[in-house]
Amino acid sequence: MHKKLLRAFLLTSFFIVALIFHFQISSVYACAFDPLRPNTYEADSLRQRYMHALDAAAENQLFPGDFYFGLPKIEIGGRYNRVAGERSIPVELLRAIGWVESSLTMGSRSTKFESVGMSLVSFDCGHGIMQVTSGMTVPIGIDGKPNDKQVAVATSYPHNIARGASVLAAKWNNAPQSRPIVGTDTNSDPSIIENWYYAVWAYNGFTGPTSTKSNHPLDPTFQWPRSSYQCDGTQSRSHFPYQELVWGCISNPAYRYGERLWEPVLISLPNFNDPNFYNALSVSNFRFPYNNMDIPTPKPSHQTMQTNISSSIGAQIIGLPQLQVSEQIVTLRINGSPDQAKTTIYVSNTGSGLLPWSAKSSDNFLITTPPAGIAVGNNIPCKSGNCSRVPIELTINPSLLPASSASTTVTISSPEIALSEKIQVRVYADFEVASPGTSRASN
Amino acid sequence: MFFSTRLPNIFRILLSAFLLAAFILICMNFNTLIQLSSNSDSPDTNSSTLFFAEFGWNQDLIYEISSSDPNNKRVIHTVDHSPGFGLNPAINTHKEQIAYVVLSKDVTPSRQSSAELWIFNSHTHKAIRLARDADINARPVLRNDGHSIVYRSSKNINGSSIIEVNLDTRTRRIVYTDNNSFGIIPVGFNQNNEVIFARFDYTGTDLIQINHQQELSILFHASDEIARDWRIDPSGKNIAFLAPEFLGEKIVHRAQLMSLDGTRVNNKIMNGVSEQYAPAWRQDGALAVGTSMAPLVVDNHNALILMPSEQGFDVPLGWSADGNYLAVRHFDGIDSYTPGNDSLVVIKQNKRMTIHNHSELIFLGWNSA
Repeated sequence: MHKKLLRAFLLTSFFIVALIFHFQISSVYACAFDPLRPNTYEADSLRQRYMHALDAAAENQLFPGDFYFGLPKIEIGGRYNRVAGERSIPVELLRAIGWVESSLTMGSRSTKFESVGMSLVSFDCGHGIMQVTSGMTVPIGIDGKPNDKQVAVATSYPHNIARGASVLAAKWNNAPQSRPIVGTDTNSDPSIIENWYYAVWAYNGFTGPTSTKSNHPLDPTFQWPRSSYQCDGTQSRSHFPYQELVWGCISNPAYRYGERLWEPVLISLPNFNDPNFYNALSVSNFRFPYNNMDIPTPKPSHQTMQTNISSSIGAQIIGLPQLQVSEQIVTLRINGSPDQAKTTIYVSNTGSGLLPWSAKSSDNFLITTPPAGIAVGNNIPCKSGNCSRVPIELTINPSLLPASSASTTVTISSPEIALSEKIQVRVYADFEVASPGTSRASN
Repeated sequence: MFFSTRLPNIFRILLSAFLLAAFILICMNFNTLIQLSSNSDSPDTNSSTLFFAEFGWNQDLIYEISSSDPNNKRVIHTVDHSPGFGLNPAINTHKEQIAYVVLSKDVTPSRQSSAELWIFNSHTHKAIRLARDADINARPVLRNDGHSIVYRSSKNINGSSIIEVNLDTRTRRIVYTDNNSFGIIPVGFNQNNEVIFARFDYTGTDLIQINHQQELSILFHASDEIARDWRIDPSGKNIAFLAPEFLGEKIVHRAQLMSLDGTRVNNKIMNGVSEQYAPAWRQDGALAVGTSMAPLVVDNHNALILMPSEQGFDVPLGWSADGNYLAVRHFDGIDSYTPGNDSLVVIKQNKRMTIHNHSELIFLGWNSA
């Protein structure tokens, strides 16, 4: 009698656990890694590494030639004479966008500086420093898993910054086909910071007046007149359209330990007392493809400052990461003690730089936690959070097991290196059950 | 143009003085300009209490100060919020009731996140959450009798809904949902307690009324562009707002005045070409409008310029219940394009009192002492 009760209890517990796992996994995917969270490396609190990466990204020095992480040619010219130009964008914009988006942090608030911890992922799937959302809303790899590009954006700050720059460049290049241009009087020169007004607006959403997420500067829900954004934490961000936050941070750099993070540039906003600007932003013009919204360059205008970066800066930042995995074969038993139901493998970067990695199982009954992360090379300071030897926990979702014993493969790969490592995983779950057919594990 | 920085200072000052004098003369000759409903039973007290919030990155502090002792500010409430996103107060207060929308501290800091609607009683210090689907961008509006509040909901991502909460029964109803325009914002209530809101689309701004049978009627087309800063008078019969106009080779916002029964009172507060700032009604029906120097107060008999600052201009925020004090947002710059820095200032006749602060101050309203 007691044995039967015990069996019934165990069986019920097993099903409850299985159901919990099942609902966790099958819940609606909101972002590329949901419901899990990848890990990342958070650099120094002075943001020096990030500042170098921003400099490099602005000059296309991080991933030149890469379609996804490299800069496209930035178009120049008016509405009817636009041609492809240089692969360069004003670094001032990238710095300020990075600050507005994340205070230039790659990890969540719980992640310390010079440490490895959870990535910063917002509710709308913005990832990392540049809060990249494009391409990050659903897993787009094989078998519904995140692909290598998504792994890189979520875990590696050089990739994240480069992708943010690439997205901003795409917003610029959307004009004049689907967005208006700024700089009707300056050949819409992309080296003039003020000419990026619409592109920066679009980076956060080219939204119209009184919409829920309006960035229209004449929106009646914003105070009028309003002082400029000081970027010092003394003003509510809800009082400004996105592009004014960025403009404010370019003019008023953030400070860390008494040092400002960049040189201020007192760039100009459009003067909406001037009919040339106001009429362009008329409500009657806010309709696709917005071709009546072209405006001249706000004055006085400012050229981007040329940064003195070496041609090897990209290679220095990226480094030469090397992948090493601790195990080749592991065994899991969910019919044994709790310790046997999970195991940990370790990923290391025996080279330099940062190694973004992902761990993907060939069968969905095996769960890898975290699903992706970063392994820090020996030339990068890292104080805590599994920097050089990164654990990956392997656990089983019993409800998805095809039989009482099974084997699968976990592939550890990196967008940075061609080779990947495969780990054989054997699973045993041969329960003795009272009622045949009530558990897939017993079939 | 008149206030161009290219002109020498002395000319600018003379020109400003001349314009102000002209305004006063014009207004005094337009006694019938505004058919305001007079309310002579306003309270006659010597001291009023000002409520405002000081923004903090994670927490706003709500203060009260007495107009008779403006240097003595007292914290009466704290509002935790999502990092960087301070509270957005209701357009008005009712007696001791202060309403606001705010992103709770657990919510992602984004203007898209759903905000909470709260009402705080400054007398009992009790705060009650009324809704969790509010839009942080749009200010709620309390009904003048304090029995109801309207706010914009964030739930409908393809449009906007205006929702009314009965503060006596805590019941709520969707007043109107709009999916066809750019958006809608609540404006307030007319004398019959019917909800008034503004709707924005490609044709500009319309003011709309929903009666108790849920029938919608357009009261008037306010502008071909975006009209803003709507304020309904204490009687619920008239409304003042700002609309852009092309004057003197510039686009300037000018105050407009209309009746809520559909008949025009007058579409101009005064003549002139300089820009004007947010109108604010006094309990007795007088109206303050910001001008390029100091607020101008007009009623059906007089026009009065309040105490100007040495430089800059004032944007009216709200009158104390006794009508003795006007809170303004003072800017030390030149105009709306170059406004400079702002501060919260209380004006009483020929006296100006600045509320000192470390960060942004958010005007909440007044209460009579």
